[in-house]
Amino acid sequence: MPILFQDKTKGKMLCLQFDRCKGCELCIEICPKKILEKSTKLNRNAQYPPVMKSDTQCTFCRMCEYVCPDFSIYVVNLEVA
Amino acid sequence: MSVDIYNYDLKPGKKTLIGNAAMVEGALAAGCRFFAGYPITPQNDVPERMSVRLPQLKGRFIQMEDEIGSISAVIGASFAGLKAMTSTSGPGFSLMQESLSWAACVEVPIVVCDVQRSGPGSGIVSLPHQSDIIQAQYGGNGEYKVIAYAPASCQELFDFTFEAFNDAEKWRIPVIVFSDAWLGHVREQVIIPTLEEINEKIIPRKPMPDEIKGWVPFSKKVNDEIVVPNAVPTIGYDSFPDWLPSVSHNPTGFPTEDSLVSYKMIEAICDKILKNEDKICKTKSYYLDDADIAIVTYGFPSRPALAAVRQARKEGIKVGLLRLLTVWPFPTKIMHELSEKVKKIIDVEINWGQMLIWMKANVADNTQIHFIPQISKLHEPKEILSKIKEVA
Amino acid sequence: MSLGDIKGEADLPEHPLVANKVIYLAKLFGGVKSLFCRGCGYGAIAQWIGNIFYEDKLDIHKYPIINGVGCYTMIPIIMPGKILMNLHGRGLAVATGIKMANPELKPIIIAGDGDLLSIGTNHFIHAARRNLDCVCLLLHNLTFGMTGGQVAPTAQLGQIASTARHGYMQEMIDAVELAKVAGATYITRCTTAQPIQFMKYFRKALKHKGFALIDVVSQCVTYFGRHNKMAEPVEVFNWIRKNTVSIKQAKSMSKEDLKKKFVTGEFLEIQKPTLMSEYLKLIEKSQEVK
Repeated sequence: MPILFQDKTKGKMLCLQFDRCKGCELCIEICPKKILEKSTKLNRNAQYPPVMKSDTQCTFCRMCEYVCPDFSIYVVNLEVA
Repeated sequence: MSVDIYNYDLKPGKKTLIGNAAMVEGALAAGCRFFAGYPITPQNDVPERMSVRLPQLKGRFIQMEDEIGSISAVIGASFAGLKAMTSTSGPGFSLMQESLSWAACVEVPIVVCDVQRSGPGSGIVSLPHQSDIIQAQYGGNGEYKVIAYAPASCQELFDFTFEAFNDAEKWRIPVIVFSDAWLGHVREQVIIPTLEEINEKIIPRKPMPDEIKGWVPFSKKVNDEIVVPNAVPTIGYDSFPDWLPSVSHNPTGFPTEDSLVSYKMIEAICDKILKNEDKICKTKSYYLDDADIAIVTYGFPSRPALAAVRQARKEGIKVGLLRLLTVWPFPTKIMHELSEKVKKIIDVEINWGQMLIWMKANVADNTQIHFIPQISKLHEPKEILSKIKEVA
Repeated sequence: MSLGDIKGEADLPEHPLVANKVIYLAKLFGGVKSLFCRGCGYGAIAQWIGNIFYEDKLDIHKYPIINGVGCYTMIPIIMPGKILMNLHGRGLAVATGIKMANPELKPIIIAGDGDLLSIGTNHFIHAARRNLDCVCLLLHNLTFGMTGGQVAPTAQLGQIASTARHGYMQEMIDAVELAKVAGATYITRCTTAQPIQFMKYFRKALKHKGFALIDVVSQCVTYFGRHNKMAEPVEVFNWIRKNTVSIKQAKSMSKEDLKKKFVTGEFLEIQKPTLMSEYLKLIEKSQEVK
């Protein structure tokens, strides 16, 4: 759940801090490839964080990271893990 | 920063200056290198002289768009490392009150000169009136204590403005220097000290403490005593905290919504001045050793009061004079001691009774307090003399 | 402030600005807590500024941030740098004092619509007129958020607010036009849906010598959105995106249509002598006349 997507060839992964998300859906709205959707699992803030749609690829454009107000969804390099 | 703090180039010796000019030269001698002001009668000589002298000493002068802009720029410049001052009169002083309250909360050293004029409202621009005395202490929102000086001659305008900058650095507080419309334009001899004499007395601006580890930027209580930090947090140095809020904060600068932290902050800001009254208050007494009656006054009326006291002594009346050189903090202990020696006190002020209230609150029981009010003009010695004879 | 509910998964790498202790709260407590409403635009703007400080390795001593009073008062906990908070509306006057005292500093002023265009308009006009060398960020959310959604002078005609329940009856004030007339030298506008443009304008503004204004239109969901029938963050966000036009598109639109739109782009970029460059010449001149 926390690691939404990883691509070893590009060396990056998309992470989500599940319990920090406030469910505002701005990342789902702004994603240019429309690969995120609202999950059905509640987090500790009583909100529904995003989850990847099946059979989709993230291009690591970071638009979701930029628009998130809560530092909850972000791209990191694989060596950091 | 290419600003030479210790270069002061007026030749030492005797010089004839008007009151406002003496105030400017005293500030420059103390190391003031930033001035922001707005024109208002009767202090226009101050920004006019500063606009010529400050560029000569590599300082900064700016005429801002209003008084609130002036005092905000002064606070910014003080945080950026320069000793800074502004000057205004009654109506402008009222506009600056919120910013003075902010300056007291964040403990930034600044000097504000108030060349008072008759009020309220727009009043009379060219007549004297000691109208802003209570406002200096209680004008801004919230609770804080300031230091205020009340000079009575051009030499004192020079010396007290110099002391005001030293007090601001030492106690990290806004300091106010009172003058008035007539005192600002009196032309008298001022003795300019030598550079060695200035350097002996000056308290220089210190942007970094000696030991940064464990240093906090604001005052706090340590073992029943308020410890005032020995440096000013300056932008560009490590002494400046990561966040310096204008809201109530704890000594490290972190903001708070807790009533206990707020209590400690008010205790630190107020007690650092109130508990050190002995070190800060300055008074001067004349003929008080065997006096039965005492005149208590401050500022310009001290001069006719002294003339009246001398005349009364020639006529055999045992009267003395206590001059308050610092009006705030009010010298409660000295006032109380005086009231135990003399049983009759005469208050001489050019207003309807501002320090009168404080005197009445701080004297021993059975002390008679009399009052000679005057508005928009200086008391005459014969007026004070006739009151002394009436009371005696 | 209790941080007891900060939790990340044990093996999940942290956000780069938090992991590298770039932001204030991470430096103090090792974590992050957002105090902003669900969907507020300000958290994102703080992150963009933090990214620029971190990626360009800016010297925090050289760029003091002068923060006003409003919802963005809490921005300092999620930003890097040295931050001085001022009274409501007086940020530009404080920045004038700081810049004159130490010309090597370049202040970044963060102000809201009430701070800059209501109580502080006088200081805004004069700072732009003097071409003070600083970066002025206007966080524009068409309302007074912190005090509960009162109407702001940047609200459009007819919008609802808690002090204008039947619709605002006054024309709005345009910060870009005001800055142009006052004499600013680098004027831009963008929205919270345009992070790449913001970062480009901000980097340019840091290098520009003169008064740089960046007007960022952001979404206020809790007050502006709910009063104007847009209760979800996505609705307000999309409303802003739908009404955004570029400068080129705006040229072919009528004035009436433009009143409801946000025109974004770079409006002006010129060079003029700044306040301190002229003042330093005055200091030179005064040395000779002595």
